[in-house]
Amino acid sequence: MTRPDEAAQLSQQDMAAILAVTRGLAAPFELHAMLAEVTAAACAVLRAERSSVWLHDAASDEMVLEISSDIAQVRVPLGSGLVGACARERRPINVPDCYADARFDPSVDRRSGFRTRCSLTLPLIDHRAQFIGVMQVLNKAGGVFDRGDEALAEALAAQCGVALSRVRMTAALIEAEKVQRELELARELQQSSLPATLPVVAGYDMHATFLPAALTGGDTYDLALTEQGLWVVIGDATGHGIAPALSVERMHAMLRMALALGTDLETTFRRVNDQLAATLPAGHFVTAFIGLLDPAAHRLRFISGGQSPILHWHAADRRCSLHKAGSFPMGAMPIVALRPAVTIDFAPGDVLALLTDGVYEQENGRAEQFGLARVEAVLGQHADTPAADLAGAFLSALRTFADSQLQEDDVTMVLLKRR
Amino acid sequence: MDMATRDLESDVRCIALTGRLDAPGADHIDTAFTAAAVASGGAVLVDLSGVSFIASMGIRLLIAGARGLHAKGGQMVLFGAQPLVYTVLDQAALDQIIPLAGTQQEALERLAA
Repeated sequence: MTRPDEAAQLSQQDMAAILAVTRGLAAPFELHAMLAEVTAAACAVLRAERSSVWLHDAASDEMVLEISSDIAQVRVPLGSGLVGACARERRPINVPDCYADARFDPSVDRRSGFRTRCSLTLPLIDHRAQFIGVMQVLNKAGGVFDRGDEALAEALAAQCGVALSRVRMTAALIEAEKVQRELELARELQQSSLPATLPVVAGYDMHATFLPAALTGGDTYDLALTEQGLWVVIGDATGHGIAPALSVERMHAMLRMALALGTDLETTFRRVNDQLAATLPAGHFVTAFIGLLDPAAHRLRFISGGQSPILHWHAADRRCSLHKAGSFPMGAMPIVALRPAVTIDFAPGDVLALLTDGVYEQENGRAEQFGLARVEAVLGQHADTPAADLAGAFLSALRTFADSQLQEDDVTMVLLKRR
Repeated sequence: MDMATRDLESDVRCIALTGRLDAPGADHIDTAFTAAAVASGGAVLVDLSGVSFIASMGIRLLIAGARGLHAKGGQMVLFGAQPLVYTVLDQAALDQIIPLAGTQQEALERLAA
């Protein structure tokens, strides 16, 4: 801040100029507009040929020249040149003859073709006394910068420091808001593709659970009754942010189209896989289980693309059998040779349990995962209860296990039980 | 999660992974692994003997690397997976995209086949 004795040195005209700049600095909310305002104000108030603002990049501990009419972006280490020296010492540096000063770095002149004669370099400090950058003015019209210019420049720098800090904070807020909106959009997209109600199939009890993670995830499920039987689908797309939501949405649309066309299980799986392989961005795919239940024959045929394990609870002898994926994750590449579908015969009380990674890979405070053994233990204890209660038992066990650990992935469960 | 790259004889690159290939582990080496695998454009062996655990994001990393390499005409073979890791890869049918060999020698033989 300007000290009273320095403020006293400012003329009425100077004070008016500073006030005009302050009003100008209150308006912009965008960094480059603000920097343009600051540098123009510095040139005008200090009658300098040129001015620049260097911002401190805390991550690399470099000074970055963000705006200058003739040079794109320049980065210098914190201690280098007059800018670096000012950043290090956090005090104004007034140099009447730059080429005679050992701290001066002439390489910027060489790049721009400008000839620096004299300079005044000041630290920019915000209202929390945080160092945010350096303001530099070059070549005072008709002479060198004097003590009066220093006082004026310090008053200007104090205003600029606060204004720049405000713009940076606003930018960070806007960025956070953008990320939040993107996540909300991804969630809406994901939720919109889930069935609003589950079909009713005589002799079967089914329940689906979808608990989206706070930050990222790309789970989906579907239960749809067509002339061919009950389609049972669960999927998990890889990736962060909105990308997995877009992947599962795409898979869902392709799947619904295939079901509407009445294609069989193998053709549906192959078509959806190959279309995903052709349209998903590199490195994106969906692990998915696609099954078709014949409720009259109590027979389920399925193909799993990377989705595993698939749990079949046998009520009669109270044991669980595991099936692994028959194909690679959907969309990873076109199918060359599709392995035959797997068949499960449902006896009374049998349960098909499809759970995504969010269940198996939920961690507790000791970096242990919930894992298959705990999933099987819950089935062993609660498989006799209705599907909705079994789902509740899974969630309860998962919450107890996780304790206060964050849910990092979507938790999705599809439970199908023969009455 | 650590990663070490060495070039074996006859233009075969070997990438050895060590540690937990879970979400943080995969994130940690993501760019470096993909770059090392895809940039070779030829044959890449991935030594999994030092990987104690693999989760879905680890599988994603391997598939992304293999796909990128395949697009450039190269080939990837995995070898040396510990039983726990092998089970996860086998369950997810990963061997249909990336061959899984027992030893480095077997991996080299898969390349030649």
